[in-house]
Amino acid sequence: MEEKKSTHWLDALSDGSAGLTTISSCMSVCDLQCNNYYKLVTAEIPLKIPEKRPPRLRVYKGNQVINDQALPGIASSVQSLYIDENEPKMPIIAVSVGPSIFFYRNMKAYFKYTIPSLMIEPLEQEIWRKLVVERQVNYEKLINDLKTMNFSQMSSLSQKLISLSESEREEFIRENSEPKLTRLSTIVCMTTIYKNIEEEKEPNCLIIVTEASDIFIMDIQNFGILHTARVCSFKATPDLISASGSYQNDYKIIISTREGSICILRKNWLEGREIVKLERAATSMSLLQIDQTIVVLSKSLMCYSKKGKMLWSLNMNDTVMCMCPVPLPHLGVSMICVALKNGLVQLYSQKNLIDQFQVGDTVLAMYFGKLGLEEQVLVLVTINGNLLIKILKRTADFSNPMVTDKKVEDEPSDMKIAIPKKSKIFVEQTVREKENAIAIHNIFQSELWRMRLEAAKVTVDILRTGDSTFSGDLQTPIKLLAQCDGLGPDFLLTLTLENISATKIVTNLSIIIHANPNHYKVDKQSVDLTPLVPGIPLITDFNVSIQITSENLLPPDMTLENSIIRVLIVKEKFAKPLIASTVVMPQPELQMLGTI
Amino acid sequence: MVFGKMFMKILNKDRRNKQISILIIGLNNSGKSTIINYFKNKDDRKFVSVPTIGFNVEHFENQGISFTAFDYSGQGRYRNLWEHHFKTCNGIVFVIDSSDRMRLVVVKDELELLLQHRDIKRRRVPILFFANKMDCIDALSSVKIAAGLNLEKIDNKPWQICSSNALTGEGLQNGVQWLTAQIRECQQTKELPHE
Repeated sequence: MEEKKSTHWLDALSDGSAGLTTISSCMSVCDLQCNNYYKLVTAEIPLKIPEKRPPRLRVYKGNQVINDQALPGIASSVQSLYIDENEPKMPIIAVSVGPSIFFYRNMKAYFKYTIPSLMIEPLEQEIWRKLVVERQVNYEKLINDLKTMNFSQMSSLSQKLISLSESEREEFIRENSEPKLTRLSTIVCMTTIYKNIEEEKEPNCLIIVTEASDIFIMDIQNFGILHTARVCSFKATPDLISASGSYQNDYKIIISTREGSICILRKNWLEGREIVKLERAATSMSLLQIDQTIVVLSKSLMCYSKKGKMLWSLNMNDTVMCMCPVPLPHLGVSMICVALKNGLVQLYSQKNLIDQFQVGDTVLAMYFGKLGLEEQVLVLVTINGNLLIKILKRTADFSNPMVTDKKVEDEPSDMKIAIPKKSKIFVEQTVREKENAIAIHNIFQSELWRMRLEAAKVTVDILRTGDSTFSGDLQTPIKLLAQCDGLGPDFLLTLTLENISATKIVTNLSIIIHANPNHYKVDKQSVDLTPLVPGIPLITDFNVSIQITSENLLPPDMTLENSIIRVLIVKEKFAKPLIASTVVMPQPELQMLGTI
Repeated sequence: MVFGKMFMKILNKDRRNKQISILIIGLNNSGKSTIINYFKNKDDRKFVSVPTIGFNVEHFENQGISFTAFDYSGQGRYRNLWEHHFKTCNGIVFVIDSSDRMRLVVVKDELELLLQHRDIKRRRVPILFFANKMDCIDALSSVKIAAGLNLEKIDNKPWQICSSNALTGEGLQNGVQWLTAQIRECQQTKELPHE
């Protein structure tokens, strides 16, 4: 494979020993210490599942880990938020683990929020009420009742109870004599919107989406839920989220589900609305801030409007891993960065490939934005725990799309037919046509009949005189082709006769050459032809020479108009020639006259 | 009248020899304005430095030579202004934040752009590098920075790298002494063929 290098990026760091495995949603970059030095906060995602040590929450300053602490579980999302407008504006970090969110201030955990419990089935409550008072002998029947329920609809306490052996049950029930039945869903994704003013470092609201497809919008200041909504009207499991706007004014939340639906939730809606149904669940999805379109990475890279209309789509060469938007307002472009399984990272501006580079390892997580003191930094985390930081060059120019052999397939849906705009003339003409429809029709019809009459007249004329290269007689359909070669004064006149009928043989034909003897001398005046077979042309040559005067001059009365030879095709016992054609002879080259 | 003109000529020549313009460049937050601040009179010094917008022109005297320093902003969007003074400057001061390891590649890129610029490429302009913020714990040494930036490859210009701390003034005086000596040398060699 050829080396793919990009000149637009500076390799600030390629740390193979970083040992960081994470996903895009577990990376957040913020000005953690309020000194304008942006730091990367990531939660580690252990790839080997029975991991001995707990996953870590790390803060990177450049390539150095400046804070490293254990997390109580595997995180699903890391977000940085601003609580209030008090100076200095220190962001807090929200990490979702299972059904809870851990909030960190100055990288110290200071609040744990657990989402409200789902509804507990009355049957389950009833069984537990009985269990704590009944004697052991009756446990079996009650537990069997419990087993009739859907396992996923049970509280975690009941789930544990039915998985225990009979001997352990009694103790377990005794321990939970006052059962707190809670059924908690898992937080699958989180994002932030602004609370009021849509500016950097202004207070945020946290949006929490659970596996049970509940959406909570939380006010971070008092950890109160401002708004609760459902992802969609049908059963779906949310997976990815992207949002924009502010809670006070207007906001949009886009949620992608594992079933392949993409739903939108707007301000004050209690339920999201499905706008797109994909064939496969999206790998990555983002609502672009700049033009508010939704970019979805599934098998291919697709772009949808907020109403669900597909704007464009682009097939990918390899399995896609992740994507992130790369807005470059100073260059006037907004790109999408896509990482493929083979380690290729490509940047697209709409459907055009702008730039690409190879990182030699599969990229799992990506971030583009501020890092450190730089504004345009691409952070890549690969599957082998490699941390790469690439800084966009100040002089990078993406105005020319990359020339690649890759063909961009045009979808028929986005083919546009160039329809010209309705001009004033067009509109006026339409009005005229409407007003004078009858008159226009009558004029057209009379002109049409006039043209037909004219055509008929000419046809009759031709048939009468036979002055044509075609024989009008149906019994002898023949075609004549004349060709005149030579510069003069001697010419070679080649006549090609062809029988154009399918089956009929034409016999007893002869050619008569009729020329002014004062002007031309023809070697033979008439030729009797062999029978003409259909499809085989018959070629006859005639030597024609101009009667030159003794002073090497053209005949005195020879003009352009009368330098013609008439060719007549006649058939025996027919009074009228079949074809009477005129061959216009070329003027001889005057300098040739002297040579003879 | 003639005498007056001659007098002015002498005066101008005298001033030209002493008025030296230097460029202070480097990435944002590397401490350019703080370095300039240190060379100013005690009364003119500022206590709080804010990110420079565009550029500031500062005058200061050192070893009997009056300097005009063009203190440029190091922010990405202002870096294209630097080249406007490349043609006229007598010396360049390139300030590097030695604690910002991540952006050393950016420094390198900017330095390459500077050295390849048509107004600088063939001129013998002394370049003084300040490896600033030497007091930071994670600061790189000036040797490491010189190696990282491939400074040994600069062959047609005198250069020097000094560790510095612009807040206390450590290392600054040494650097400027070197720069002054180099500028003097450059000017003398330039004037020699005329005389």
